[in-house]
Amino acid sequence: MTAALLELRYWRYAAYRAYLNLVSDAARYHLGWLWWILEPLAMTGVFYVVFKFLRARDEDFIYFLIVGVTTWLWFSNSVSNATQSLNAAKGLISQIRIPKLMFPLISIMAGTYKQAFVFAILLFVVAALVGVDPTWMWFPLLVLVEILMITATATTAALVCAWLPDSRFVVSSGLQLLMFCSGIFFDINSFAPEAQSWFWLNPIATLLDQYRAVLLHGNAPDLTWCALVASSCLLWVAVLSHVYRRYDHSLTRRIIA
Amino acid sequence: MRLSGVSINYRARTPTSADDVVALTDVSLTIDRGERVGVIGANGAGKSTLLGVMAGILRPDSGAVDEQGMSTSLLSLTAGFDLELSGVRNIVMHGMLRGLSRAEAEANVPAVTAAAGLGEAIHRRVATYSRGMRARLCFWTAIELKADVLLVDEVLAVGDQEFRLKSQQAMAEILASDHTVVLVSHNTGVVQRFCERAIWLDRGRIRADGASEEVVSAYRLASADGGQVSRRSNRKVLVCGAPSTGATGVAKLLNCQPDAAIGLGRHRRYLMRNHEYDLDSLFSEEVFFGCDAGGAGAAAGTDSLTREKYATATLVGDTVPPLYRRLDTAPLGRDDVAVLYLFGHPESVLFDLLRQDKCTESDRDKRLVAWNSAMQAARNARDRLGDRLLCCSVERLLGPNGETTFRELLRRLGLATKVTPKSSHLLARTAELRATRQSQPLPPELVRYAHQHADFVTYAELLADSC
Repeated sequence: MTAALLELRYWRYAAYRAYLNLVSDAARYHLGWLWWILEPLAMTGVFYVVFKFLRARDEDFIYFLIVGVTTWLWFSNSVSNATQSLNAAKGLISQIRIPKLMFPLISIMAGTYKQAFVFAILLFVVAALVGVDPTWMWFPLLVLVEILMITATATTAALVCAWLPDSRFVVSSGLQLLMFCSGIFFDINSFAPEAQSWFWLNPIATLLDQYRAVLLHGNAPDLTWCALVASSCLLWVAVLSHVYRRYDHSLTRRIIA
Repeated sequence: MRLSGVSINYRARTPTSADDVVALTDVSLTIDRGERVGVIGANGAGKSTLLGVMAGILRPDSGAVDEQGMSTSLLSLTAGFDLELSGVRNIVMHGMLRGLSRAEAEANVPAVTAAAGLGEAIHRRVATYSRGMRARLCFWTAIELKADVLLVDEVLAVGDQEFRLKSQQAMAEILASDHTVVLVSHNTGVVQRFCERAIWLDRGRIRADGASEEVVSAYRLASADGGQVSRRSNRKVLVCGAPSTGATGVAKLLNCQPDAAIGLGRHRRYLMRNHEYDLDSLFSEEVFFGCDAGGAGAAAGTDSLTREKYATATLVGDTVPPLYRRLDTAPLGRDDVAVLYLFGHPESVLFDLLRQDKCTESDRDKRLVAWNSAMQAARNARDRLGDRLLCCSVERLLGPNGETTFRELLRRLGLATKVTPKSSHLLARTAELRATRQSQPLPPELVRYAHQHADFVTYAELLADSC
């Protein structure tokens, strides 16, 4: 199975399939790929309208929101799409011998392609309105950390949901909870220190804070935190790939039974 | 390819499913290069699981599979195509999944398009394709990805008539080459025609393995004797009838408590059991499908039931032509059985017109065209369902040996003990009606006309296959 995962043909297929996922996704709606931008914009708009009137915010609140919403949506959409990926591939799994890890990875790749497009627009907008800062050089590092976080979470969720279909509801509730605890529409730094310490336990909250530090405040990210999270995620993905390999046949039966 | 002592069982996925299912038990077999092997057996016998094991998709709980360096390709029409993508992209995607580069997979597109006869439609989204077009795309995509061993799961039994003919031609071509083919089918005729060897699986075990003629004969015999064709209590039952017939009477005779029985009796009244049905939604369900058309006999059943049981029957409109079209496409499950009561002899169709004093040229033409198209529908159903279609003609049911034949049908359906006094009464009444008809022969010119224009070949073919 490890050998299978290293086979070029699976990665070639995964890259093409991820691209086709986007084509298929765009074909499904009248506005097609415009939704990739409209979705974060709509969510930003909702939060902006609600929180602008609830409490007086500074003028940079809109940028604060855009950065939070775009990075959060990438994480949450990737995880929820990957969660269903194994069950959705039932037809294929019953017909072809293929490493099951490929399916959540294809969802993650498709989400990443889409996000590259969204980030390009986000950077362009922030550059035009706020200006470019040398600290932006750290941006790719944060993107890499987020990819690893998504991979670790999404592959776990996909495995658990294939095994126990009921856990789909737990995953979606968990994502809701994370959304409200990650400081997408509020600044955790403005909380009392004892409250803050609870929020920073959530790695998504820290990641969003790091994105804002780099893009909006001209600060370098916390490199120790990035290294710690990245290495933990890598380790977890390695463990999971072993689990996928070890239980590949059981997983096949579980999915097609 | 060699399988030694292969056993496999499934575990229920949800708490509401059945318990563990033993799919294969101690299956050992060897398939040599170039061999054509058919796998037959009832639903749940383990046929598809066997293909899954051969394809390396399922690993057995015990035993071993030695592929001996042969590549396998499982051809099944349930495979996941992305409906939102064009046919071209689906072909390329499947090619890449089987190890081709994107360029190689793209080079396959013209061949698949031509073979599947999709033309410009290949660039359209698969969601816009008809069922037949999807089946063709799927079939040819798999065929063009040449593998040493082609594992074929029930693909010859779906799609429209044209697809079935084309796919059988393709299968004949493949079989003429040196491909190794393992073909799973409920249609024993197909297995007999295409394979020199057959394996009969019964509840996960090999019951027979040998020359296909012998294995298929043994299987058919056991099916008739052992109640393979038996009605399950949870099966939906629908018995349909055309003008002057008594589908409800037939249902009553079968004593099978149908979910719906539709019949148009002499009073031209459709009868529904308990409900007024929307025919489209009714036919989209999995049904036990009996089609009763023509013949005076069953009218008695309808007549009797109309008076005695269905005082509030509702007229829902003329559905006779759709009825026969449905016979061709009825979505039967693998376990379901269709009983076709053949149209009466064409002469009796014309006799009806004569009796009504309406035997103009255009009327008789219309009647015979309808008769021929019903025959075609019956032939299609026969091709599609194979042994699961039981044919009974009205002649046979109600002729000199009619009652015996009907009892034979009941026996095959596992209903022999359920013939009630009421049923006997109906049988007697139909025989009486039949005798009345026979006493009034048709004018010879009408007989000649019928013989010139009716599709007797199909009729004879179907009768030869009947019970």
